[in-house]
Amino acid sequence: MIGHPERAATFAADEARAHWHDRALWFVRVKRDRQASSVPEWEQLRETAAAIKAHTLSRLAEYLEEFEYNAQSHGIVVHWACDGNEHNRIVYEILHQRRVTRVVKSKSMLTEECGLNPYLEKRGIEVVDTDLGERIVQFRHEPPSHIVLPAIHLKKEDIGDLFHEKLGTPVGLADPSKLVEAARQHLRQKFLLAQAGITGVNFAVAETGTVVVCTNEGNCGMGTSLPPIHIACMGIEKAIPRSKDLAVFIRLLARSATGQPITTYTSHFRGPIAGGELHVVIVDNGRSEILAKEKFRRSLTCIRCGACMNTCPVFRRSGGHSYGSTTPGPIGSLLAPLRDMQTHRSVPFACSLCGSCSDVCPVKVDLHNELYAIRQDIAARGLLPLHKRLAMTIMARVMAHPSAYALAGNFIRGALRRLPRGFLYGPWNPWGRQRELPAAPKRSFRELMKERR
Amino acid sequence: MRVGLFIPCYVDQFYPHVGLATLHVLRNLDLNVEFPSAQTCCGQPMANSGCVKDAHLLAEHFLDVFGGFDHVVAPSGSCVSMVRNHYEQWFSQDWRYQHLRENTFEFCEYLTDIVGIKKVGGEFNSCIGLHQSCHGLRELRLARSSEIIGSDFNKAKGLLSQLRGITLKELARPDECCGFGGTFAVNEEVVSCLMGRDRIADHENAGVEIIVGFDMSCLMHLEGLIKRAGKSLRVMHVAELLESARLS
Amino acid sequence: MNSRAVVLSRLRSQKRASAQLPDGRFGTQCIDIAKQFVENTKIVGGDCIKVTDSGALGTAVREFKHYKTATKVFSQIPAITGNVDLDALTNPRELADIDLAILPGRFAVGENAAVWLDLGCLGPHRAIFVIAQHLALVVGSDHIVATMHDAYEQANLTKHDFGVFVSGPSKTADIEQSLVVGAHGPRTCSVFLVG
Repeated sequence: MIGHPERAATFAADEARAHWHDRALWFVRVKRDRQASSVPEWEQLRETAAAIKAHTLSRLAEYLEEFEYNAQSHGIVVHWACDGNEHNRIVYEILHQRRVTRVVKSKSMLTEECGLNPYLEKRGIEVVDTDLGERIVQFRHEPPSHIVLPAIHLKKEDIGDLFHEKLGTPVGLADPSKLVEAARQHLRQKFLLAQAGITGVNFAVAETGTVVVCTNEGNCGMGTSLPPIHIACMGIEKAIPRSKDLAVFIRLLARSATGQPITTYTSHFRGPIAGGELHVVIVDNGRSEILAKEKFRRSLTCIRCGACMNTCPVFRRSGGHSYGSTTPGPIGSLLAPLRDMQTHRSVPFACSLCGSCSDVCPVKVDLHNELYAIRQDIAARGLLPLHKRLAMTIMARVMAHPSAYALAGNFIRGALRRLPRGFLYGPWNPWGRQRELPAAPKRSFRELMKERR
Repeated sequence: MRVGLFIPCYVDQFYPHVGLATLHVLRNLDLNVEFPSAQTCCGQPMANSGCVKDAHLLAEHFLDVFGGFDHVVAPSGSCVSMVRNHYEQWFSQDWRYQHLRENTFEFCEYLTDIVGIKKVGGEFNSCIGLHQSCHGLRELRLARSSEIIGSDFNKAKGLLSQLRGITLKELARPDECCGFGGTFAVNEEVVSCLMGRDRIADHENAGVEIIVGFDMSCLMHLEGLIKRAGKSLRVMHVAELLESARLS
Repeated sequence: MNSRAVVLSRLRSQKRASAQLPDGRFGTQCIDIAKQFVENTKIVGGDCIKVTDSGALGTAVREFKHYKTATKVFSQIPAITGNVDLDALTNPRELADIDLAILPGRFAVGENAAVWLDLGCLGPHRAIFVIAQHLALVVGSDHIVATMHDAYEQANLTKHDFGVFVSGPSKTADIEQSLVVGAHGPRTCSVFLVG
């Protein structure tokens, strides 16, 4: 099975490109550090955010009902979907009934997860992703490689070539500001012709029935204020109790995601636009199952900032596509196997357990501990490769007995000292491909201690 | 006060001089240090692979060996973290574990917090770069990790910076992971080595002569890359360095 | 059972320890909030024009470069009359050629240069804040609060059908992390700080 190690090996083998990708994302991490340092109470904010989310999840049904009640009293139509397919059907029905064939979409990882675009396109509805990075990957027929920076795996020359092909920009044009200008003109037409706009939801405030969307480019504003129909898609975990709780999350979100003090636009939707409609689709799609698992519940508090991806030394050197799931990186390495352990059994091991992700997470998801825990579930389900399982069992049996361990140690060190290099560093030895093995001393520490007595 | 010396399996087998240095530094502080020779391994490689039953076997053995000591000290952040943070799932009701959870220490934190060393004597004339191994850093909080916003502290640096003649070089990325990660080093070999080479380059660019750390596992990985590349950089454990400085 | 009932029953069937909802108060150490606002406006790619009082506002706007070069101006401030008549429009798409929109901000936030706009009053034409080529916001300098905690304590913040915090001009760094100011929304954002 091709999993993370194989894809990552390909990505990292092109060292120049891997380093370029690594530097681009490290830069975002540094910006995050700068902004976080400007808030002396940063750690307290994280603690508070984690507590608000824990409280909300402990009473999620009540908060979703409160949100629905308040949203409906302001003319928002609320729909519920058990899974991704139902979500797609609901969105399609809303559009179909209103004879909509041209839709603009502002970034929503939920709609990616549900496969909304291909579902609508098969039924004759044009869906234009309007977030610049999303539009770029849409043109290329590939998934985003990062939940906040979808095209971070592409160089400006790659985008220049793409825009030449799709938008008619001059050959060789790679100046980001000129490329953005071309995208602006192109997408402006799409906004003006759109009959409906689809967005995600960053926060759904139960107290007031408000939908909050945080963006930088203006595509959410354009997509929800020009067409009369707005469909906002949210996972059940997006609910938060009160307006005042928004302050905590808004202070943390952009600082963690991009190193900005706040996104350019923080839109608060409380009712449909005059003469229009606002629909909210509340989606489960496996979230209630994750919620039921005490060990992994906190992964549901994720506010999709991407900070874990920016700080992960493995993500930076292997690229988002090597994870094989909608959401990659540390959080993705939890959410994907929680949804489908068989397919995604390699990603929790695409991790050195360094813990940097847990330390940057604005809502204090204990990412690396949950990755450690999910490995146990994967092993318990018999999904580890046989050679790994055997190696660990044999090692454990030997090491449970001091004399067996000492004997094995002597044997291995003896072998390392005597065996010819060609054999030692053969293809069976992955450690030795790019590294020397440690020198094997004649006596182990315990033997030296024995001699002293 | 009985102090049990816990020597990680790979230190026992491949870096015995680090074990000796640790023993000598501790004994030189007039501590009653014993090395219970029945010890083997804390079970971390099995646990990190998700092999709970296998790890449990070794954890039981660890408790048998170290259960009677007042303090347990190891020249390794990751092994100590395994005991303090990951044995809970098997031993939460076990009185031996209750004691060990509060009394198993990594070498630098032991000297700083428990022994309370105020003055570190000795000379070490070299440019060193500190490699802050992840488990010691983020699970034992041996220093403020760069992600956390708060006041600075660094237990390893606190000990090393007192030595006469030593120069601690600033790194571009002071606490990025080296890529060892246990079985990660082998399962994700390409990324692991790229991460390691990037750490080495950081130290080289800073003018470091010796990479110093508190976990030999990380240093073993870095040394493997250094040797393959034929570079002149060296690696040393903090205990080795302190012992060498003391003897100078 | 409909999906609503299914989802809610899935959630209710789980036994979960209740967790306390925190109610702490976050203060600020900022001494000069207005100064912080001006500095942060620059950081987010905007600019700040200080005006002594509301009497001087009209002059300041008329001298403003994006006003001078504009063909179509929409203004919601009394000091300036624009030439976009909303009542004559049948469709928000007709707002597409607005060069400059001048909107009043109810208040601003020092820690992130955000300005709060109550746009429910614009009805179907709320796109003005994002479709104009250039945006000018007018805020009283005594209406700057320190943090988002203070912001959400302002009365009726989420009680309008639509409100938005705007911090600087639209922007993107999606191409190789190269920051480009002016993405799909306004290319510039200038805050006139009055008083």
